[in-house]
Amino acid sequence: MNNILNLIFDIGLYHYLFLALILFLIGLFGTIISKNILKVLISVEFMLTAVNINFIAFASFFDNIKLHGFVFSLFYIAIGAVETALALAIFYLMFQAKQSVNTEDYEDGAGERC
Amino acid sequence: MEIDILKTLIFYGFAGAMILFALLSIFAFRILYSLLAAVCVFFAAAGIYFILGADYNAVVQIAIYGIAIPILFVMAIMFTSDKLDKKIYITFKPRFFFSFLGLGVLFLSLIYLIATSLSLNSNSAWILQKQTLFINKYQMFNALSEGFFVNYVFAFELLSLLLLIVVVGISTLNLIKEAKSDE
Repeated sequence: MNNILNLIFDIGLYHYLFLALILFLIGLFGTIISKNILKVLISVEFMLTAVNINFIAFASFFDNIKLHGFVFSLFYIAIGAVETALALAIFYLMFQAKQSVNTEDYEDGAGERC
Repeated sequence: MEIDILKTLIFYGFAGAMILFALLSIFAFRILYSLLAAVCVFFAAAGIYFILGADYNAVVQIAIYGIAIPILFVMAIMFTSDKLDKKIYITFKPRFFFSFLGLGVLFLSLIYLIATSLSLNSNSAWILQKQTLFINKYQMFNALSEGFFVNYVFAFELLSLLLLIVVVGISTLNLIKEAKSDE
């Protein structure tokens, strides 16, 4: 019993891994089920944030001199910003063509609807 | 074993807020509420970085994910606001249930993996290791600058090239679109 309480209340690496896992799955779920394109993009950002938490947690627990995880996390944040800007630009062009934010209106070139 | 109650409370506060607002963001009816909940998630993530000792990453997270990217999203929402209505919510097609099932199985299997590496295997004591980040701010700044300008300078330059390509690419896309609309 004492061990279980320690596992719950003594914050360790596995807590951060659980948190990142849950956030990543929420993002993946939102990406699959959302009909609004903007919401799909927001869900992708959740997945990126979950990966960043893993980078920083592992660097903080194991690599306390070089901090490679912190550096990669900053790279990842920059790439996430680039990805969002590009995705929104493409979304705006697509929107001008179809006048819709519904993902199901853009499925004509992507096979059968699932 | 001593437990740092304050750190535990702060961690669970940020983690709970993050999960709650992430779910709110996905299931909100209006896209603007969804965006606001997402901003809360990004701020909570910055708090988690701060707990982990990554102050600089937390500041960058707030500046980029907490402020800059939401402004882009708000502009996109403003451009498309007359087409946004409550009918565009989430899908209830078979992919909803299949993804729910698949992600549930993935979640349980990953939890099993993490839980088994907690105590059952003597080779997996790594996961119970305590946090060892005790460097001061100057050492962290030194490590980050060494990472950017010595160890990963090629990746750093590649990233700047990527930013340039994106700027030129977006302008080109708009120019092509304007040329087509003129025809």
